[in-house]
Amino acid sequence: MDICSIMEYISHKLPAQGPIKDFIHHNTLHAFQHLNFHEALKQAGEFYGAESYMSPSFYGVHAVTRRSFSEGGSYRESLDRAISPILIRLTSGFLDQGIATSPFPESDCSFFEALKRLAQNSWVPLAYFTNKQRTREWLSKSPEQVCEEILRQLVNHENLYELYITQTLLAHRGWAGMVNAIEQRPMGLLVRREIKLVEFLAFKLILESEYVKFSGQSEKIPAFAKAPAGAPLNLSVAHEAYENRYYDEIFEKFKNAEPAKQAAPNIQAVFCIDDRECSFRRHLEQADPHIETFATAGFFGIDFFFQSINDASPKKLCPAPVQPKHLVFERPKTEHHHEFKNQKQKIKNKATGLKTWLGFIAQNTLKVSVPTELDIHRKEEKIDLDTGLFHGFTYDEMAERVFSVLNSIGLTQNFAPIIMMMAHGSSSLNNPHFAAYDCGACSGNPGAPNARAFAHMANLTPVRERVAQLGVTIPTMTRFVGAFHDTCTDSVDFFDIDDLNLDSFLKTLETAQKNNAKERCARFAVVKPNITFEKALVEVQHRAEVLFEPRPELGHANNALCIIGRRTLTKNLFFDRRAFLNSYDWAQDPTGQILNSILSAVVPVCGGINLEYYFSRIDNAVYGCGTKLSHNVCSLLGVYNGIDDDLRTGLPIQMVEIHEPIRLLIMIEQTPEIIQQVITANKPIFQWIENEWVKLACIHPESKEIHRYQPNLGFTT
Amino acid sequence: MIHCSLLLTFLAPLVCASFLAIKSIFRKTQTSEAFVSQFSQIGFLFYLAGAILTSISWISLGSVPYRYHLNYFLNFYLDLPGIVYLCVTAIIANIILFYSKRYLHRDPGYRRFYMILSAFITGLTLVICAGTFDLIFAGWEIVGLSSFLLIGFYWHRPQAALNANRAYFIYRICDLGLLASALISHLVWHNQDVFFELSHGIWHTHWREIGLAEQWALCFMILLPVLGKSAQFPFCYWLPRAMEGPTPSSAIFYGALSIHAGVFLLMRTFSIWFNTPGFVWVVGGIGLFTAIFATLCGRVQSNIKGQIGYASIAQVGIMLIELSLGLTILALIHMTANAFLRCFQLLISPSIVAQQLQIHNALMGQPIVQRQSSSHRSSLYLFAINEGYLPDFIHWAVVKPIHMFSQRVNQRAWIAAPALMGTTALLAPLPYVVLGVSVFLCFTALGETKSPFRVLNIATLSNILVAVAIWFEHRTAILSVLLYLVGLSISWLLATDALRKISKHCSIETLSHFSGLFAKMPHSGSLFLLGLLGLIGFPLASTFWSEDHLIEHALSSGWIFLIVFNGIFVFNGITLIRLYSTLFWGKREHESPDTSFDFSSHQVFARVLLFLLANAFLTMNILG
Repeated sequence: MDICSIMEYISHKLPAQGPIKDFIHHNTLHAFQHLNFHEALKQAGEFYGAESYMSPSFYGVHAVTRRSFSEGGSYRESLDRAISPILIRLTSGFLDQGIATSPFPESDCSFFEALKRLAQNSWVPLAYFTNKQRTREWLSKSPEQVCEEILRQLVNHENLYELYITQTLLAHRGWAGMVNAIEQRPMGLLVRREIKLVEFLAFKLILESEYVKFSGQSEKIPAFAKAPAGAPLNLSVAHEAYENRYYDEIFEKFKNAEPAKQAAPNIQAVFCIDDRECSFRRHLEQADPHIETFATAGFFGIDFFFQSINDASPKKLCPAPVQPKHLVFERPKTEHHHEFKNQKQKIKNKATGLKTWLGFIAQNTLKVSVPTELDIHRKEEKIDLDTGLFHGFTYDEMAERVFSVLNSIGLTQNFAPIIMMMAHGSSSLNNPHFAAYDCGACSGNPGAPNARAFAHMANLTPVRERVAQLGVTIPTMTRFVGAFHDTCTDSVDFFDIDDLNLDSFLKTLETAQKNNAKERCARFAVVKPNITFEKALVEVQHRAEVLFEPRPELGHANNALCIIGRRTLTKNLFFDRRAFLNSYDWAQDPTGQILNSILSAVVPVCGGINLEYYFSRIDNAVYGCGTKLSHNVCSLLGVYNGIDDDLRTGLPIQMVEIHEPIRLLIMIEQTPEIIQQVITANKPIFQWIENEWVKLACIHPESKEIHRYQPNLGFTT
Repeated sequence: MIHCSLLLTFLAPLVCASFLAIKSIFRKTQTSEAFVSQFSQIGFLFYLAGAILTSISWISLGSVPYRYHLNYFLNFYLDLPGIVYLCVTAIIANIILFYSKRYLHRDPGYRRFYMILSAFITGLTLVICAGTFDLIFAGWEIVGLSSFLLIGFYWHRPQAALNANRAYFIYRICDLGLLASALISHLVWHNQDVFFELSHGIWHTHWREIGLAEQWALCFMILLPVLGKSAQFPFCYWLPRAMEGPTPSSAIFYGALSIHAGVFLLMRTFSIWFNTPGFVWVVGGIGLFTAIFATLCGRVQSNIKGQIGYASIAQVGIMLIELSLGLTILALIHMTANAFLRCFQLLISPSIVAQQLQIHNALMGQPIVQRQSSSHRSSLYLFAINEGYLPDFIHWAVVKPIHMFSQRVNQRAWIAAPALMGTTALLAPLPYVVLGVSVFLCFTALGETKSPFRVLNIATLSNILVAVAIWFEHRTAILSVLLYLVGLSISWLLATDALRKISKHCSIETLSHFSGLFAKMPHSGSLFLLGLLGLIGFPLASTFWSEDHLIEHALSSGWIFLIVFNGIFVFNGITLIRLYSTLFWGKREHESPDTSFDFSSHQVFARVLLFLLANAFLTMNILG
């Protein structure tokens, strides 16, 4: 078996989390997704030495003897412990994005080349146990060649290569995964670095081989076998029962629900499907019955790279699997151009002074604030050669995006005078995991530019004309407004509203903010239950601004449900901020085409969030990153404990401790036949559903009957 | 006035620590976090008030060195560095407490954190206000132990346990210096108000009587704990590795307070080492070397806490230079500023990602200027990233040989011991034979890898034998020896009792892996630690005071006695604390396991009470 194919196989099983500044939720066990959920849990549990379910007592099952975690091969352990510091220090030093004051001496070449130059230039050895001459020789070969030669030297039999490489990489799976993620997506870095997983492996093997020689052990590694971790306890039945208890509760709710009515809307607001918006929408509607709300994936159909006036490079603002083709810049308004330049120079000077990490900058002190506009319209069909992207959108492209969003949420008539596009993000201080709280549909970024761009597009007359041609006529008096909801402080900002009077809406908004804050406070154990509405709002704002708050908000904790259907279906129901809600009008989608596009975005995004929380909760030590309180930030790439540790991926305990690990139940308001037809045709989505990584149920639009989806069987009542 | 405020300063954190300790015995009655944090907050505010009142009354007394002579052992002393350090401690302790109130919310070790923090503050106050080396030593030990416990705060992580061990071993070795200083100061000054006399120049007469070599020896003994606690060369590498606990604990220990305890000790003993011919060069030299070395190592650290840790070490190195130049006030200002800065930097270290992103954006992603690579740059980089190969050198040159040696000794113990005894009995007088055996046993315990009982018993036995040897040499020391032995036996009983409880319900097969029993047996673990503390002569137990007496006898019995006594003090401490961390730390449990096999709260309470009463009784006898 050759190294390349082994690496290819292994690289999928490493954590896929990239640099922490863009935390993107995904299924922790994505490599096992081709298997049935419980089977995958079993295999992954054996592979990573992790638990697959909560403890028996959690399910109220009588305790069965649990497997004990063996220490593993002590040889492997001592080897890893010995080479760990130098391996981690050189790798993290090379990849460093701006912590070390003395950067890695060579960084304009690939990792292996850099090590080679370092070793050749240096008078001292790489580590105390390496031989200078031998390391230089190793490093002058290609990484693949090094791997092969060292494996031949260390491992008895070719059949064991795969096992050996697996164990070697899994011992530092955080770093190996980070290297792999960077190899796959080098654009994600602030400072470009060239590194390959095979280089990391080769370097580790060189260190291993050198250490084996140094410590005078026999050249061949003594018989090593897979650590007898034993099978994880099978609690699948108990777990299913636990999940079903919740699902049944939800079904019961739907059965007893009164159909809701919507008064003629003054304002329509389009939110993200995010579970945290679920309560905010409810409070907004309750504060003013003339507000109608919708929800769609929070990038609002605008898939683009966006660079604000405060960014040094463009950010990707769409779901992670989508590869955008457009780039949009924010620019200061012409009359403020001079002011912009002045401010920019000022903060540049300030930043140069602060570069040595002497002090702490409060949030936003390094930001320019001048009135801006979006450079969004592109006249010609030209692609920018430097970036390979289109600068802006043509009217046709805009119209297509505006139409598809309106069509997908069923907002094709009865337009209100004002339509809010409400994006969301989350502010927090002293929190390396800040990106994990932002919008999942915007690759872990705040979705504000998307809302702003959408509103801008939808307000353009040429775009409206084209949308009308596609079949949706937006009245001229209707105006779209981009807005941004901070899910931590519950504050809302608006974009480009110079002449618009929103006073009455702001009043409603304030009530909704207070009510929402109060509802959220009920989950915070430190807040007294009888807190007033005003104080609740102060409390949630406070959380975003203090240094010592490891839980600025609770994120997606407890998410368990995703409902795709009209708002009237869910308006009277209380979901306790546990439901992703996606607007969808079954009557406007007889072919299931809209449903297909909704599912293509919703299942990976919501399913990814749900499963990331699920696994981080089930075994926080393996799938999660442990407690936040002792974390140390390394290379700006991730967190670990102490100073020479493996990177920790997944979510911290503070985010998942109150999470109830329940797989996402997707409920769709549509006939079973159409749903069946849609999911069967969409292979990737079908895999999620058929292998039960998410659960599916349908609410029949007419009979209101609920059918659950069973793998192989289809919908049953 | 000053007496009352000083008393308040001492009592506030002490009451906090003891109350929380009692609370944690009765863990069934879940104390709310709010109660724990508010109680500590009040305690610490009292502490702050005490510190401020003490300063005010000290100033009103004319800002001159002040002593408070309570009795032979309890001597307090205050001067400017003491007052400044006390105030800094009080302020930072309150900041950390305030920060942790929310930060540690829902952490299973919430109460434990506050308890250890209060104990640390108590110990540090003792160091600051102590009038004698003995009291400083007591405080120093408390600070060391609380540091160990906070590094191992997340005890289920093997790496945390290893790093906690490393820090403790270095502390233990360096504490030897303080023990010796206490001893030498007894010899030189006979009198107890050491620091007061130093400040008044009375010491000169005694000081000149002893020779230069002895003067240097004392200075080195003082310097050793400074290097250990303040992580100066060659002990610098433990400190960055100690950032394993919650961020506020790293901030208060390795950013703000504990790291400056060494500087403070140098200020306390300033007139001793500053007036010893030539010694300023040693202090200044080590300071200079550390400053350069730590700067190099810190600059290449690509993790934020390690970088701050090394930066702090480098600053302490500069303080050493300032002190060696006689610039005490400058060093004092420097120390205060560094304490606040590093504390702050560590507390905000999680925000580094957001901050560097902002800076990156503000500079419009300007690439870092890549300097021309050259061979000295590469060499320096590799040297710095390996921390000058220092940890590895110490591992292979010191730790490993001792480890191998003790294991060899252990494997051959039962054949070699009688043979050794027989041969030495023919050649040497009885006390030396006993002494030899105790050294032998000490290594046997260190090398034991299977039975925790054997480690405990053999280590205790070696302690007993040293005392017996001293008694053989000094028949008049019978009372001290007896009191010591009684103290040892009580501690041994407590530890054995706890260990028996554990071995009844958990199988301990090996000591070469971590067993992580704390999850299952938290009460037994705490009792076991309490027993061990008695055995290793922790200030809480009577053995601490007995050792003080015994060491004087040991000194008069000759230098061999002294070395053996100190060596056993160090190595048994290491052996027993390692035993604790191996048994109770370093292994994760998926769920909180059944703790019903453990001692009940009442059983624990009774044992702790008995232990404390017995020790109090013994201590009174020893001191009285």
